[in-house]
Amino acid sequence: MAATDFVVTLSGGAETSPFRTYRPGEQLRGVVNLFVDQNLKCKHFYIRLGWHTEGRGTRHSEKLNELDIFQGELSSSIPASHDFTFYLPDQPWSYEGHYISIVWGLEFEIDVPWGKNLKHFEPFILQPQRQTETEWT
Amino acid sequence: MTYRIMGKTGSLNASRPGCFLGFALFWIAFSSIFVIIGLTTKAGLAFTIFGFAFVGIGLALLVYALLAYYARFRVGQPNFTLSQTTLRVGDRFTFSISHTFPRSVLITDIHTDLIFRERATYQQGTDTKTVTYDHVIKSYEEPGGQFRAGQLFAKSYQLQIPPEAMHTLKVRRNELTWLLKFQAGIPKMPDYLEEFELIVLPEISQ
Repeated sequence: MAATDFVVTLSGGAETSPFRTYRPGEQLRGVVNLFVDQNLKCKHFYIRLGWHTEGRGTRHSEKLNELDIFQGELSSSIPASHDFTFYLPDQPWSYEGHYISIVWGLEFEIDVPWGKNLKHFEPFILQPQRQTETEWT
Repeated sequence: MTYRIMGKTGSLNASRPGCFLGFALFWIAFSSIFVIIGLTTKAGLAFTIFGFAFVGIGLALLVYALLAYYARFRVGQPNFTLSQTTLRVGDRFTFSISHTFPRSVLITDIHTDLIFRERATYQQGTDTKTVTYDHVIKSYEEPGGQFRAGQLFAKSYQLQIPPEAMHTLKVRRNELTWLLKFQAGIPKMPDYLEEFELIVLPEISQ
């Protein structure tokens, strides 16, 4: 089975720990570099913008946008590089609570014909500009 | 329960013992089947006792629900006024209570809480379970006492959705909600309890 390294570099927003923070309505830009250990046929390479819940409750997820940015052969000798841009919605804001967390992120998926799809998740924070930038739990 | 919002009157989804009463009656009716089977057939004494035990649980639930109704009857129906029920994060609002007690009642304490509630539902085997966690953002406590018939109780509170808070979110099996909880303790009876849901929009107050 092929192995792939997804190296994602996000830009825009603000550099915060542990993940980059964006404001509602802001543009999220980035580059993904794919390093495959063997030549790989790629039916589709999807990048999806969405959020999901984590914690005690049954997981709920919503996909807001999807880009199908590549179809073809991925070469082990030449890393593939793809730019992407998304406009972020107004809500829901990222949240980390006692039982429920709201996690925003980008899902990268290579649709491999007759094989297991290769996936990567890159989280980020969606938070509005507040009067005080303290974390609230 | 009635409330007034900017001069309008409507009804609220307040906590009511009605659901509890309905559940208790259903429980008794269902477990009575086992008692009837035990008494009319040769199912055995153990089966009948088992059925009676379940009927007993149902009766206990029924008594609790009736006591909750009685507590509401004793206290009467206060008037709650909210300056607004749809808010933005950081918004300030006013919550007022005015009540003329229709009959004499002893109240131990009166609590008004602004609560941010996490409610998560999940599957565990064949059971569906729900867990709730309340973040008490602001709490006010008023002293209780013996309230006489015709005595007026009136309070007004200035509250704020904290500027760093989360907005309301309701998705399948995961809910983040804002509530105002009014609770009056009555000795040897279930508390008088009302909960008012506030809608907090994903917007920051200017």
